[in-house]
Amino acid sequence: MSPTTLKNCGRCGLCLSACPVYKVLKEEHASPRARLKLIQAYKTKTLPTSPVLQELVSKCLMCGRCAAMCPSGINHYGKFMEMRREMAEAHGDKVEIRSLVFMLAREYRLRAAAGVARIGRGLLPSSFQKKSRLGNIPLDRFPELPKTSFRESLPEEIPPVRAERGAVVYFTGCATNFLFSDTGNATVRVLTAMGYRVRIPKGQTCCALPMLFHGAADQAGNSIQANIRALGGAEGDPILVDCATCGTALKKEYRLLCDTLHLDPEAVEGIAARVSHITPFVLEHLDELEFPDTAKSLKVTSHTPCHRKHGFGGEDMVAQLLKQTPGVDYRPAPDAEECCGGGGTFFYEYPEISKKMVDKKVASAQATGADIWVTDCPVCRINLAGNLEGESPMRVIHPLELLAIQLGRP
Amino acid sequence: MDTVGKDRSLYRTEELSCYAYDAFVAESMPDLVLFPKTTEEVSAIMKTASRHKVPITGRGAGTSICGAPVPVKHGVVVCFSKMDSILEVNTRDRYAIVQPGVVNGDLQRALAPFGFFYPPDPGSMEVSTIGGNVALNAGGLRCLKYGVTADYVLGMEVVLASGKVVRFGSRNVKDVTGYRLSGLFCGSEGTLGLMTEVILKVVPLPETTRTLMVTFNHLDDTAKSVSDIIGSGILPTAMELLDKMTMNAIEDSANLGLPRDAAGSLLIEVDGIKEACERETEKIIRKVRDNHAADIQVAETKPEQDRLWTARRSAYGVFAKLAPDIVTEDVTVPVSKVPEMVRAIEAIAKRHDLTMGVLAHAGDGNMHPLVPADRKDVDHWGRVELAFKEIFEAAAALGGTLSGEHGIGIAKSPYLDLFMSRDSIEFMSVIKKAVDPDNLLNPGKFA
Repeated sequence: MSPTTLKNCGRCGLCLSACPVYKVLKEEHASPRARLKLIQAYKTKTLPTSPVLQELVSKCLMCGRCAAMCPSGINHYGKFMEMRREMAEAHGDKVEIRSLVFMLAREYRLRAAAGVARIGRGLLPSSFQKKSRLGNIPLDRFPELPKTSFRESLPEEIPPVRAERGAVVYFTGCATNFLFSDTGNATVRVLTAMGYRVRIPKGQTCCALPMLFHGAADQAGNSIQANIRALGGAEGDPILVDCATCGTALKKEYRLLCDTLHLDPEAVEGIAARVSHITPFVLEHLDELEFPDTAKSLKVTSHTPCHRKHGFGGEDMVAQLLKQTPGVDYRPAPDAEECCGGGGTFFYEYPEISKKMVDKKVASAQATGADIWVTDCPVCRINLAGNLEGESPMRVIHPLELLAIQLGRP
Repeated sequence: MDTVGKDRSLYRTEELSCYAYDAFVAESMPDLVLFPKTTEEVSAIMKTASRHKVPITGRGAGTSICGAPVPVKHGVVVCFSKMDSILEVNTRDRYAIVQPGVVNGDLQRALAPFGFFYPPDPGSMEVSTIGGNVALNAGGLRCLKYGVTADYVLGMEVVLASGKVVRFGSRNVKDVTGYRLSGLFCGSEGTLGLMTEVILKVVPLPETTRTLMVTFNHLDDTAKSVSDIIGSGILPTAMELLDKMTMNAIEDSANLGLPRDAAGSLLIEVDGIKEACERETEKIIRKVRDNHAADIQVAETKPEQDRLWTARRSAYGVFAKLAPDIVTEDVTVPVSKVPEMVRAIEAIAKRHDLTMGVLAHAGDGNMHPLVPADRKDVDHWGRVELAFKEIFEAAAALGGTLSGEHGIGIAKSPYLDLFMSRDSIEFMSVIKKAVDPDNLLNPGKFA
């Protein structure tokens, strides 16, 4: 018998019940089982490469739910990633996706693009912004771009505001750096209030996972090397991430790419061991925070990103954090763990499927009566906030921003 | 294609190849896949197919493990997955009316708020559709007490081979108006017509459940316990047997603290009114003690019950990870013959040098030998096929049946004559010829 690493899909079909895309479309050809079958047919040369094949393989959120529940233990995620790369090489990708990859590959390009986008939005009449959509989201519901990127706005090292307990390294990711500086500022506020010295290495750049999803392994290689240099190897303070996708890259994906991209395995393992997600870290040290008696009373619900649970791994601890945060009335939504349909660029490429998923999420979050919806994934955040009804008073923020609000001004 | 429109038709090879399989190993490509949403569309498809003599194979979620929805004669696959509305839930009259594409688990979630449920619970229930469940007459874990799919089908709407739409049965539990034709369609595997609506009986959720895990040092003691418990007037919802090989394989990978030396263990669950459950649990404990139980654990709370169920639930995954492929069987024997059948299976496995674990729904004699296999290894695969043939023969000798709940499809059709006389098979083909003279409905099955 062949060794157990050569596992075949038993075609039991249980992954269909986990797949958010299948649940909306009810089409076998949009299921994880079918994607595995198509990849197998392509590998054994019974099916030639084609744009149709590329579309079927890419109509996927890369949420990892299928792999997490597969009784045969198949790594769908890795197989899909490899196939997406081969298909992108053979057939290219949409122009918009190619330019995204182009920008993510170089920090200065992203900075320039953010500037252009900000000016562009300033010039567009708001009536146009209301009517136009990008994917399933109206343009005027995209986040406002800050003038300076988060990392430019702060020194590389920020001292604690009370007796020092230790130091941490903060990997901000592109979203916090270019879109959600509020998340970055809140994270620094909370960590320094706890007594941590926060180092934000200037050399860090995109985690490279979005490029890998779109099959751009070479461009990804440069960013990964830059991050390894910026973060150091096995020695050093804990590395904290505020985005589950970046965390998955640092903790899991780099390790799988050691051979392909000639990475230093020792440094990669070292970084993986140092990486923690910010939410469990803060929860563990919550008693080091002093909340003022004047903490507001807020009704809060939450959304668990797929990459938090099925990529990064472990409980997201957001529920526990909310239960222990002073002034928070936590109101869980029954479908808090369901996928929102964001999926990197999925909401842009397949807006109709994505819209069905996010509308359900919005309805049940609003039914909880919460004022604030927390999630620790920037794409989920854009997607959820972008699909709230025009007049909805609900705000979507990172859990650390909620903590910062309750801490009040320093 | 015109009947359902382009966006619900598939004709490109890449897409068609995703409808060539189910959970069985064989594959066969359809020429076209259509997703109807209404009875009228199904009828129109069937009329066209009948005019042009094109084979039609129905499909739900494709989780069958006997090849039932594999279009062996090609033609059109009619996929019911998008015909998925729950049309009516009526708990006062204790029925629900559903379209065939409704997922079993979704129906359960729709019934739960009313305090009701639909008992058949195949392992695939979170994916598989009611249409597929009815076409394969699916079973499940709780069948021992509650019965199988056929026991819950009150009536249905069917599109015949001609395209004509007919209704059988009604909303009434008691109904002897005419032949019980909806019963005939249960397990017909899409060879007699295409179901477009099903009326199902639903029942109130039990007040409480109790779960017991009992281990034994001798296989005969497990079987004796099963028949003693049932003989004493208790009807548990489930009585699951795990043999020594299965428990050891689970222990190797999951380390749940299962006894490695025990010959077998029984997972027993009772449900109903709280007081009755308590009395039944006490009685079960007495019975298994009389039969030399080595260890007894009782769970009252949900987390404890889940812990006891973990071993049973993880069995398939554990065996699936042992080799590239996994094959499972479902011969069924009278309850009293279970130990004999387990021993026969173990002897056959040994003779062909195969790893084989035995799971069984011991309360109803439904055996599930699990075989880690490798279909690319010609010698090994040959031994697996030979072993299964011998298992079927052993089951036949014990007065058993070829399939308890998985169906015949293409997986088991070669062995039909081990269990049915030529005249009985002939009677089936008389019916088939009468309702589908051109052999258009799922051709190549039961034959």
